[in-house]
Amino acid sequence: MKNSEESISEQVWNLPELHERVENDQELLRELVTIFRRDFPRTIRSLEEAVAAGDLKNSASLSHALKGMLANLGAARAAAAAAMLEKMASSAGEETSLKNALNALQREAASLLPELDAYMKEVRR
Amino acid sequence: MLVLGRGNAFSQVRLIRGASALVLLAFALLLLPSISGQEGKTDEYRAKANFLAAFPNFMEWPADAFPSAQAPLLICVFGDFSFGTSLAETTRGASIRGRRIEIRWARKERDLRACHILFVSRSEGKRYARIFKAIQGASVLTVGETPDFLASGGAINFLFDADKLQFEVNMAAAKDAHVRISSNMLALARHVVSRAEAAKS
Repeated sequence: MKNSEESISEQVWNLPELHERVENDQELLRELVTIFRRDFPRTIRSLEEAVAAGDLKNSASLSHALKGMLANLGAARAAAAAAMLEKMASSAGEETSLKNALNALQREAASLLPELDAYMKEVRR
Repeated sequence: MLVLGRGNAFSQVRLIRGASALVLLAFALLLLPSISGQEGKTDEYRAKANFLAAFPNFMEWPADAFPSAQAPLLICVFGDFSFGTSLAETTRGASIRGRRIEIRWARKERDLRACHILFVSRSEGKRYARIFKAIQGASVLTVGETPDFLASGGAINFLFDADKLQFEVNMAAAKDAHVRISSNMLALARHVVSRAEAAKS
């Protein structure tokens, strides 16, 4: 995993990288963002509930799923935050550490989601 | 080529359309095959068969990929046919958008261009270059099961991640094969890699 300095230097959302991955298929890209915007809220809500309940197994599983979703979308910083949370949940980290890791992921998501929404607004024009 | 699965009877796969297909694919992702021992192998084959049976629901081929309007959609297996029974069983009587699904055991490279989905067994890991040369320019979506499959030019690769069978996608290879993969399938992929990333992997 990248260290924190590298993570901070990453863009919130690497749109050119995603373009490259989908072979510049604009329609496909829009669909992927739409699916992510549909699935992300309920997945992170489940993760928040799992962390609050101290459910390490579900916390690890859900943060693993989020890590994949975010990485595929080109959101490396948020993916790194999800990876950190997964690592802590898998190694039975302390409750405070888990909550801090979740907060970090929520902060990254708070930066990412407006960018996705702005993109969708732009392409719908 | 040996035809292993065909027929008109209803089967579970006949029912997997639209949202149901997505549920099946998502369900396949939740399978947790223990990969040790014979029982584990059976689970692995069943999981891979479920994926392969569901994939056509999320793919579009150009019309000229089929010799006629009624021509079947061919899922071929090249190499070790270890899970052929599971695959033939899973797809028996299945149809996708009006096309019957047939499972074939491709034995010769010249058989490969007729396939729509080509599963390349890990037993053929040293013949990738010849296989991809044989299907160059044809609308054949390749599926493999070794870490170097995408780097070799494959489109979809099975992998185990956290003990779950998952898949990764090389969109460039799918595009080269003129096969469109739906966003719903990509959203379930473990990795979606670019042409450059695939080459580096």
